Amino acid sequence: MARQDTIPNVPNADVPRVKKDFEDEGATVVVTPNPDGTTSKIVATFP
Amino acid sequence: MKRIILLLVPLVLRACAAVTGYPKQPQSLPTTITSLDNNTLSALIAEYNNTNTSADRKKTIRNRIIYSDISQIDQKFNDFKVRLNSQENILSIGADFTALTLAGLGATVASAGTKAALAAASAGVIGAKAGIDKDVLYQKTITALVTEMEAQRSQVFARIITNTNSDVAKYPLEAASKDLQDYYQAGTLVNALEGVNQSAGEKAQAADAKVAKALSANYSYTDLSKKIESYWKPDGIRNDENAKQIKDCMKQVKTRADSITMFINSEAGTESERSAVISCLGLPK
Repeated sequence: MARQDTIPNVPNADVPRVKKDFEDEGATVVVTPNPDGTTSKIVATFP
Repeated sequence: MKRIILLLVPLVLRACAAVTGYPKQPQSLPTTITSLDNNTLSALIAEYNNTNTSADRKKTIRNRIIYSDISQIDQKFNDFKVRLNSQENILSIGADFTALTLAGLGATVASAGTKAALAAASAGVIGAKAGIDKDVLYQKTITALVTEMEAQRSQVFARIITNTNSDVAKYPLEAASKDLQDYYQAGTLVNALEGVNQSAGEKAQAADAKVAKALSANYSYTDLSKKIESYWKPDGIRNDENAKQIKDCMKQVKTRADSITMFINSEAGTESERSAVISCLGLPK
């Protein structure tokens, strides 16, 4: 059963680290930059 | 006045009973076309049970009986729908309205002054409005239940019609009889209520499942997060054994987050939970 975790406001400087953490746990990650230009939304889908 | 009231009652009831919402059916439809009379039915069953009857003939007999029963059940169901939508409901409105009208008129007649008479008449009208609202609610409930009955009947009907293509070895008359019973039961109020309850339960479960599968929480990355992350990835390299220990501790603490990443990088992991996990891992604080 698929599960989805979302962190809507990750500072852009931390995005690569958080993305890598999710990927290390086996998730497929989608990063969407927020309009504020400083944060991004990270959506991780676990199989 | 009493004479006028007595004349009014049958007029109101008769006017209401005439409103059924269904046109009259032609006499030839639908039962007389396919329904079998008892003598023919007995003869066909006897022929079906005869060991000399061929499989093809048995199939034809079985299907004739099926269509006859379907036709009769349909006719009974249609009658049932007409009664649900007209008799009880309309008479109920009529009865409520009449009773309240009579009460209002009675009060009017009994009162001595014009003011009291008008107040009583007004109460009668307000009461009648409440009676109609109640019956409109009844009407909507009946409509929903009839929709449920028709949906369930359609499902059983499709099953029966599909099975009419099978030979009698695979779908004997006894099995058809069971399906016809199901078809009849699908058109009952009891079955409709069960279906509505089951449907509501399934929707609630589906909604719960969706909530359980999706988690969203704002970013939160603290010193306690860094401690757990250092244990998970000593020297920046993932350690699967340590990851398993972290997850075990998260289960013990009963964290909202399932993933370590969510736990250490979002508010799905609280500071007190992170502190508890660090204690569980035996790490210095």
